[in-house]
Amino acid sequence: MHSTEHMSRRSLMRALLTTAGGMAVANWGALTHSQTIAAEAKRSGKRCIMLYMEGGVSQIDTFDMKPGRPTAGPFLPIQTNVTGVQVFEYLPNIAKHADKLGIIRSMRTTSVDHGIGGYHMHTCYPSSQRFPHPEIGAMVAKYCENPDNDLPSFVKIGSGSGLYGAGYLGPQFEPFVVADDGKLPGFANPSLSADLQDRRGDLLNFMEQRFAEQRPGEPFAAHRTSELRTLRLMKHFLGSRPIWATPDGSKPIEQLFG
Amino acid sequence: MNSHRIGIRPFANDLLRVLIAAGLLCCGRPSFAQSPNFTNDVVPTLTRLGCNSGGCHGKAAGQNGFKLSLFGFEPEDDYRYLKQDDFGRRLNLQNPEQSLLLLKAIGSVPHGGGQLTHKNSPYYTILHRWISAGALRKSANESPVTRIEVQPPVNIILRGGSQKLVVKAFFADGAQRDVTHLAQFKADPAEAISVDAGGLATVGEKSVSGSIMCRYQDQVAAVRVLVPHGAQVTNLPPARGFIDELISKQWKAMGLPPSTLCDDATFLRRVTIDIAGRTPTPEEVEAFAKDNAEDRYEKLVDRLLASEDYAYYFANKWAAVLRNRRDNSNTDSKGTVLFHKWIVKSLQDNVPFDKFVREILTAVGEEGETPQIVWYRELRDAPGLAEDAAQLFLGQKVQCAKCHHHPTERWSQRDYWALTAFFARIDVQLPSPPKKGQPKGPRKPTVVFKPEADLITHPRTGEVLAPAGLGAFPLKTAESGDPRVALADWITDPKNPYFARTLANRYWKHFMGRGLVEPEDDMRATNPPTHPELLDALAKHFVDSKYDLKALVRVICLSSTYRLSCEPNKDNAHDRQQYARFAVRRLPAEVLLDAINQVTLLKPMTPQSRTVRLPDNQTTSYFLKAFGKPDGASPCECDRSSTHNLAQMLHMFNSSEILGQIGDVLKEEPAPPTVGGKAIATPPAKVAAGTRIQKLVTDKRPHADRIRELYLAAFAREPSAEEVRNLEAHIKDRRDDRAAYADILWALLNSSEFMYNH
Repeated sequence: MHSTEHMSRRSLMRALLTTAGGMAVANWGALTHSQTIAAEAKRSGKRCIMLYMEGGVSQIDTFDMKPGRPTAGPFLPIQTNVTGVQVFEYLPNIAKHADKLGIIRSMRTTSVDHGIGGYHMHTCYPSSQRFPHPEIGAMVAKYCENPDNDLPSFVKIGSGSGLYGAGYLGPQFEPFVVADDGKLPGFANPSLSADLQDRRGDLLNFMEQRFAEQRPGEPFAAHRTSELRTLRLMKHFLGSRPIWATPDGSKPIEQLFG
Repeated sequence: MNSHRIGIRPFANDLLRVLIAAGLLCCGRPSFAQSPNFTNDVVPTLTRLGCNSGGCHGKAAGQNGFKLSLFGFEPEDDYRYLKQDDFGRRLNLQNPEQSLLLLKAIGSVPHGGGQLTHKNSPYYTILHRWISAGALRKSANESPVTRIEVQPPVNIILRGGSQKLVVKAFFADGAQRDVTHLAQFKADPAEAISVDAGGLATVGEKSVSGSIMCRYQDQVAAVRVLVPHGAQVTNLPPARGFIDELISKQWKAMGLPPSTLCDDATFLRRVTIDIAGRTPTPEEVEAFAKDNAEDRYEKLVDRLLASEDYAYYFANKWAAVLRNRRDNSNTDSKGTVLFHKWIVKSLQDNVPFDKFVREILTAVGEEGETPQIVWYRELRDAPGLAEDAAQLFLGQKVQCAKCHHHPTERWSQRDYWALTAFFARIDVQLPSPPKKGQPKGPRKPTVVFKPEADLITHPRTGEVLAPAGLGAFPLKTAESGDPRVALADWITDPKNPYFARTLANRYWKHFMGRGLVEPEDDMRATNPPTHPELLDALAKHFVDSKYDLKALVRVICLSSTYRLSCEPNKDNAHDRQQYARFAVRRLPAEVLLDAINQVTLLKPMTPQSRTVRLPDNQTTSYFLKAFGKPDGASPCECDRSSTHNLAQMLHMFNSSEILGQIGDVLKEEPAPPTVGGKAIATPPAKVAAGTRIQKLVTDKRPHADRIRELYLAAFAREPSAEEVRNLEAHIKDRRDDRAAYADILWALLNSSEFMYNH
C-alpha cells in the first residue's frame, strides 16, 4: 500500500510542500479562498515553495527603487530584461531574469510592526489573540495534501523566526521542522524494526482506546490523529540519509547554490 | 429627512431592534444645537472615515502632501494641517461645498482613497456645517471628553441574532452625548461576531463569549457579547465558594451544562502536577486512595503547598518571565543561580506578593547581595524596565505608546514616558573588560540610584515629565529620593485596578488552562474578561488575604470547577471559555521529562535532580527545547510553548534518548551521512541496575503486581482488570520479559493519559 522507497532529499521534497516562496505566492494566494482552485491544484499535484527572507535590504533599495523621489535610497537603479522594470544596481544577475519574477510593489498593510507583520504575511490575517490562524503552508497542506501519503505535507526548514504553525487547523497540519543544515533531528532515524513498531503500536492503540478515545473532542482527537500518522511515517519513510544530500550523496546540497 | 434622535434604548425584541437600527442608518443625521466643534466632531469624523489611518494621511509622511495626526490623537496639529497648510487650500469658507476636503471625501475630484462618503451622510453634514460656521478651532460649547460608555454592557444574543449598541460620551463640563455615529467598533473574535458602522452587532451560529471594542477620540471601552449554547443546565456540582457560584451562574446564562466531578485519583494527579510540578509517587497514590476523610482534598492541597516542590515549580514559572537567563558564555550564571534561589525562598516562605514585587522594583546594590538585580541586568534601560513592570505586574502592554497612542489602548505617549521616568535615575552598571584610560567598571552587575541624573522628557514636546503611574497623578518633581518606592506604593496599593487582578488572572490560568482575560497579561480595557465578577472576586480575595499566594492557589484548587472531569458531555465538548470541563493540557517540558524519569528510573530520582528545579534557561537537553521550555527572554508566559507536533512525537516514539531509557539497547549511531542508527532491540544479558526495566525483569511477583506498580507510577491509578489481562497476554506472547516490559513502558510513556494533565 505504501511506497517504501528509500527517502532521499528529492523524494521528500517531491512529496511535500515547503512553506512557500515569495514569488510563487502570487499564484497561490487565491488557494486560501477558493476550494475549486485548491481542488485543481491538488488534482495536478501542484507544490508550493515559499522562501521567506526576514529582515534584509529595504524594498526601496532592491526591487522598488524610487529614483528621483525624496524617498529614494543612495543607490541607483539598473534596467532589467523587462521594459520598465528596474532593480537595484548591485543585482545585475537578477536583472537578467526579471521576466521570470512577479514583483509585488503594491502591498500595503495595517500590521505595522515586525511581530504582527510577520504573522500577517504568513497567515494572511491581522494578528488575533483569540483566534490563531494557520500559516500559508498549513493552509496549502490542508487543501492539497494527499491523505494517503504519510510524508509530512508541510515542511519548514530552519527553526528561526516566522513559525506560526497550523493555528486552528490543529496539529495535523503543523510544520515538520528540519534544521537549517537539512539534518533530520536525531529522533527521526528509525531505531526499531518494523515488527517491533507494529507490536508497540498495537499496545499504544489499546491504551488510547481506553483513554483518549473515551474523551472525544480536542486535544485528544488531534493528538491521536498525529500519533497514528507518526507511526506510519516512521514505518514507511524515515530513512537514514540526510535529506540535504544530493542524489548521489557526494556533496552537500548547499554547494549547488554557490 | 426626519431625525430619529439617537438616545434609543437597547431593545430586547429582535425585530423592533432591527427596524429601529435600519431607521437610524438611513436617517441618523445628527442634529446640533450649535455648530459642530473641531475636536469632538470633526476629528472623530475624519477618524471614522479612515482619513487619518496609518495607511492614509495618518502616516508620518502623510499621503500626497496632506498629513493628519495618526488616528486623530493630536487635534492641535490636525487643525493646522487642515486650515493653514498649503495656504488653506483645503477649506473654502466662502463656498463650503467647494472645499477640497469635501470634494475629495465624496469623490467629486479624483481621490486616491476613493469615495468615502456622500452628500446626504451625517459625516458630510458635520464637515460642511463646521466649515460654514467658519472652521473654528474652538467653539463655545467645547469641552474635552473624559470617558465613554457603551450600552448595554453585557449582550446576551441568541445564535444568529443581533443587538444595537449605543455609545455615550461624557464631557468635562458635565455634558453627555450620544456619539454612536462618531465611534468606531471592532468585534472579537471577528469570526463569530460582526459589528457594523452603526453599532449593530450580529452573531453567528456558534456559542461564544466575546467582546466589542469601541473608540471615540482617545477614549476606549468594551462590552461583552455572550452567545448562549442554550441547553438545559441541571446537576450542577456542589458550590464550594464564590468561584463555583460565579462560574455556575454563567453556565446557566450560557446554557452550558458542566461535566461531572473527576475521581479522586485523577484529582490527585492533576493537583500534584499543577501545584508541585511533578506526578504523584505510587506511595502518594495508595495513601490518597485509602483516605476517606471529608477534608482529604484540603489536606492534600495544604501538604503540596507546604512542600519545596511548590516553591521550585512556581519559581520556574516566575524565573522565566523575570528574565532569569544566562547568556551563552555562562559568565552571568552566578547571578541567575542566586536570583532563582531568592525566588524559591520567597515562594517557600510565602512572602506576600506585594512585598515580593516591591523588593524587585526597588532593588539597589550588586547582584551578590541583591540578586533581584538580575532583572535590571537583563533589561538595562528605563523603557525596558517600565515595559516589563507594566506587563508583568499590571497586565498592561505599553510598548506601542513609546511612539504613539495605540488606538485600542488607553495609554498615551505621555503615560508611557511618565511611567518610564520612575526608572530614569537608575544606573545599571555591568562589568566590562578594563580599558586604558577608562574608569574601572564594577566587578558584578550593580544597580545604582543617581539622584542627580536627568529626568525623562517627552520626546515630542520636550517637556520634563514627573514620574506617574498609569492613569495616576504625577509625583511632585521636587520630591527627592528614589521614585521607585512611590512606584511600588502605587502598584501594590489595594486600590490599584490592575495589580491584584493581573496576578489573580495569571494564577487562574495556571490552574484552569485559560485566563479569564486572555492572553493573561493583556488586561487592557478593550479586552474584557469572560467572567468579570469572578475576576473581581478573585482579586478581592487576594487583596483581603494580604496578597497571600498560597491562599489564592488553595481557593482555586479546592473549587468544584477545578475538580471537573475533562470528559465532555454532549453539550460542552467544544467549550473553551466557560470552564464547563477541565481544560486538558500537555505536561510542561520539565514536568514531562521528570515524569518520564520517574517511570523509567534511569537516573536515581532525587528532588534535586528534577529539571523543574533548573535555575534558569540554561539547558543542553534537546528534549526540553523540543517540548518548549522558555528561554527567559520575554516577560510573557507565551514564551513557553505547549503545543505538540511531529518532532516531539518522533522524539518520544523513536529517539535514542527515550528508547535507551526504557531499556532498548541501541547500536552506536554512526555519523551521518552514511547510515543512521540501525534498529535493534535484542535483549542484552544485563540491564542497568536500579532502572525500572531491571526492577521489572528481576521482580519475582506475578506480572499483575508488576503491571499495577507501573500503572501507579505512570498514570497514578490502579489498572483495570481488562488492562492487566491485556498486558499479561502481551508478556506471554512475547516470551521475553525484558522485551515485553520495554514495549509496555514505551506505550505507557507515549499514551495521552501520561502526556497530558487531565
